[in-house]
Amino acid sequence: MSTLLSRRDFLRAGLAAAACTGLGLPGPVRDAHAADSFGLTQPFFANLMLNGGPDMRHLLMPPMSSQSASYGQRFWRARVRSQGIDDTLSAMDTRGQQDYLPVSDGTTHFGILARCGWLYDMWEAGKVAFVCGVLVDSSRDHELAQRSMNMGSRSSSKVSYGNGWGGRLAEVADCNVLALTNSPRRFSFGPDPADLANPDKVDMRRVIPMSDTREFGLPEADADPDWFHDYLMRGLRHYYGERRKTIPKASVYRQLFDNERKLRELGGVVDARLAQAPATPGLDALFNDGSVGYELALVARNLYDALFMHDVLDTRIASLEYGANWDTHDAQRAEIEPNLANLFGRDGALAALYAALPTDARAQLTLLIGGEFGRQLADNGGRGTDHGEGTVMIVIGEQVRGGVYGTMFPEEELDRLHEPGADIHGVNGIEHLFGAICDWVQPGAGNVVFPRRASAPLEAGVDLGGIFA
Amino acid sequence: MTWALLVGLGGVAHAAQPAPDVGDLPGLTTVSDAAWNQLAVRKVLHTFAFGGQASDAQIARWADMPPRTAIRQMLSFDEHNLRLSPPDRTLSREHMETRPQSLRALSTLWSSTDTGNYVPTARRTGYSRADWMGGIETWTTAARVRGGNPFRHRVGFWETNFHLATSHNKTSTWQIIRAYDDTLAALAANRPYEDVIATASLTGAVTTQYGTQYNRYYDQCYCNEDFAREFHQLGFGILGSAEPDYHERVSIKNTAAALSGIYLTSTETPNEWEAEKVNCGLDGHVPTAVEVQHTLLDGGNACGKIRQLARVSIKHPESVNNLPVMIVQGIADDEVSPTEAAALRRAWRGMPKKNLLRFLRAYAVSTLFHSRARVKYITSIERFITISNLIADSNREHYADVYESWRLYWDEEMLPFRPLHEVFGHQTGPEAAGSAQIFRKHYAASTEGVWRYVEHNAYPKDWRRMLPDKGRLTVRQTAEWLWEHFIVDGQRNFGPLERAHVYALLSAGRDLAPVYQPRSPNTPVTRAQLDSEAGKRWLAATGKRKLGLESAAEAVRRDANQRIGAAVAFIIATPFMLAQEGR
Repeated sequence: MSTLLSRRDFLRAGLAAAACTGLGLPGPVRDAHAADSFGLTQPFFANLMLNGGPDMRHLLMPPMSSQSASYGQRFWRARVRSQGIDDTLSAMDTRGQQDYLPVSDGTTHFGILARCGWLYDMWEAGKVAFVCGVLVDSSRDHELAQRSMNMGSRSSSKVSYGNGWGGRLAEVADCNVLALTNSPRRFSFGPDPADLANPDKVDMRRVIPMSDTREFGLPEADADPDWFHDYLMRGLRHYYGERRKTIPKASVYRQLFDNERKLRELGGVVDARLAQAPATPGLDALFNDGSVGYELALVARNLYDALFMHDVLDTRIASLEYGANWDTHDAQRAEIEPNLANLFGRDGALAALYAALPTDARAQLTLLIGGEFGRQLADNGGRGTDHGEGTVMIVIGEQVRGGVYGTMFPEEELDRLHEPGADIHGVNGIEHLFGAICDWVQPGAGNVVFPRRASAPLEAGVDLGGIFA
Repeated sequence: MTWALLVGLGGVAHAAQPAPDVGDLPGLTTVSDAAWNQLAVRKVLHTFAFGGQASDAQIARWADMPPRTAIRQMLSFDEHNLRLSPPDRTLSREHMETRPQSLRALSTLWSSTDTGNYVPTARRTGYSRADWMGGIETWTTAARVRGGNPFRHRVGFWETNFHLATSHNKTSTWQIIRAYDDTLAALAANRPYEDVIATASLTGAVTTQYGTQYNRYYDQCYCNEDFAREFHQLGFGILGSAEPDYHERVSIKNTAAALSGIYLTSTETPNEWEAEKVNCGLDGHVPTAVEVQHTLLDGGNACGKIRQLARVSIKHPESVNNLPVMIVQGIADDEVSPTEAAALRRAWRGMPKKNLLRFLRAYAVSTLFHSRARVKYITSIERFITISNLIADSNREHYADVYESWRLYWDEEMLPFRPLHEVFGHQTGPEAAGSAQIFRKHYAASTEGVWRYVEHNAYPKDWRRMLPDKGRLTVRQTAEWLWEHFIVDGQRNFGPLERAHVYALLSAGRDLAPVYQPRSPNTPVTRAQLDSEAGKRWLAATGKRKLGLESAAEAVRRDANQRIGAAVAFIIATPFMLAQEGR
């Protein structure tokens, strides 16, 4: 079982990857500077968390209908304030027609927010799955629900902590997790190898914390040290290298020594590999023009780099987050639409990322995008929506069998539309979707990572096992 | 005892309560007098007061007292605690020990031309409430200023950046400062904890953060229920798990209605959106009593109803279970076990009137706090404040920003009042410990940024002012003092390797390898080498050398101070600065 590769392995892998060649990628979205191949032959899973409970019903609206009793019209009526429109049929109709792109999977008809053109294109290409009624947690508590989602456990309590489903998956898939976040999310925390079944035990050895791939490694002393900064650099290097040999595995300081080791051992390798990275003007432009914001530009470039360095980092799992305001209790339209456009627009971060990726990386990459819970059915007095339960998770990838999984607009909601606090019911436990992703990353992993998957709630007729082609 | 009056929000005045005795709390056993020693005192200071600025002599005096007596002196919400934070007598016009310590007062002082203001002119605008950085800069300095009370600011930081956190992304400097001061004033008046939470809930910062000022009730509630939910969840740890439907459909909805009618007015802000004063009006307020948690709230306005609700919420079983654990997890222990959580709950239940100070004091001298099982990972902000508190011997160092707050703010991207997780709180200890990037930035501050420890033009360091016996110490004595001063572990982790590296820097101003084995400066010195007879002889001989701080020659003293600075840089770059065990 490998955790971090040896320095020699890194260098060898880096050289091998640098020698790779591959086929070009046709199509209008391809960046002229895109690399030919990243040598990616295995599935690569990127989990992009939208903390705050995004209202996916704002992204995906039912078609407006002239029938007053229809789901479409009644739902639109319940959402006029968060949609920022007058409570008139014509306003709803106009908004629906102008700002939503009509789509269908043959059974469910709905609209995708028009500002999310790249998502629409991917849907039309059959590469997007909308998994509906996903149940993460019923508490409506952000922190608890996020923790539940990261751990892949719906039985977390306010004061219980443990390892994450990405970390467990990495253990089964025998690879590392790349934590491309400011601080590693619990998603990437691994189980204790000596006590794999214990959900409360955490082990960080497979986690590579890399909030910015272009800023990694530690400063090194000059060859001829001549002042304190050099003395400190060399002295600390020597000290850490020696001291870590005697730090017990269970020591609370162990992960800090591990941080130093990861930075020290990987830093040079990462820098060397990235020095060979193809030019990515499309991704660079995200930083330069500021259109999507620094954080999201960094998400896109980090993921690009992760795919580019997958071999030297021995990773097939990446953890990301986009921390824009998704908790839209007020002024939802003004708050959420720029965020969605930054992510899913044709000029957005994911479009730029996909344009820069070579064929093999696109073919092997699957993105899971979602938040910790959904919102309530009806909007509130602040032109926003309040915390709810069931949500939509978005799965995007060349290997994804596009479509709507679960009921996007359950008719039973009509009876509850004006009940106080009525929300979208969570009917499909996360274990099913997350487990299917695990199986895709590593066949058979789903039941190991989610041993109670079979007993998790699932809507009748839904088969998330078929979400990958 | 404090009997001052606290003027609360919404026109409500609170009589101050007598300071609580430490006393026994069930579940928390006070450590024995024998276990209460200087190490125990330092651990309390590290965790609850960002290290504090107490002298070695004061620490020794506290260690000699019974723990409950000592803790009463160490931890209080008074504006000044001159044992914990003696004033800087080198600044003759400052008189910090008599100046008000609210953020508002300090912001006014440090941005002014007052003759007692020692902040360099060019840096003063950063403290102004009109400046975006005003609250951030003022707090960062207030938590370190000699003549104040760092414990107040430790707890104030938790209350406003973790417990009921608001973010400067959504709120104004005026709002942040007012909310902070009101919350600390409620704590200083020893109000029941539910009153403190209610006070914090009814601040301009919280109101603006959640948009609660737009909640209006005209036949129906035109409200968002954002804070209506978080009042329960974040404020009291109540999720409504026992009766989720009732919680959602009755308690949350009616709390949103209870919060209706609030409007903000300006006391000193130039713009309405930055207004800091909360008013609980009748226009747009729900006209009837509302039921929350099976209790009819019949207060006449939002302020009345929320204060009434707080008195109910503090007794809620989920609050009793979760709140004490949340407090301890937030301030002192990142790995609270189920057994420890049960003990904390017992202690909390054992206080008929919930009082945060009483709880914290009892916990700080308990075997639970002074337990090997306790682990506290140090956040970026805690680390920065603690290190600079422990290095500085004068407020002048903070005013000149010798320790470079920009590294914290803009390099690590950790700003007070701009929580990493917005209302869900700032960077946690485990997040800091898990982040290679944070480690890297801190490491760089001790290496690339070492000059600030060894040679700062704005404040040439003279360690004679800090070290025992005015620095007339050997290398070994200095090394051990420095380690204990910063790391606070009873030298448990100060093994031969640490000792050898620190000795080399102190004795020769160089890293270990070229000092120990001049022909192999790039080869690490191993533990085995140091454990050998030759290694032991080297350590013993080097440890006996004098530093030279007492030299009459300025160049010799300067060199000695630089070497001490380099040793400090090394010590704080070890992992032992980034986490602390209970014992």
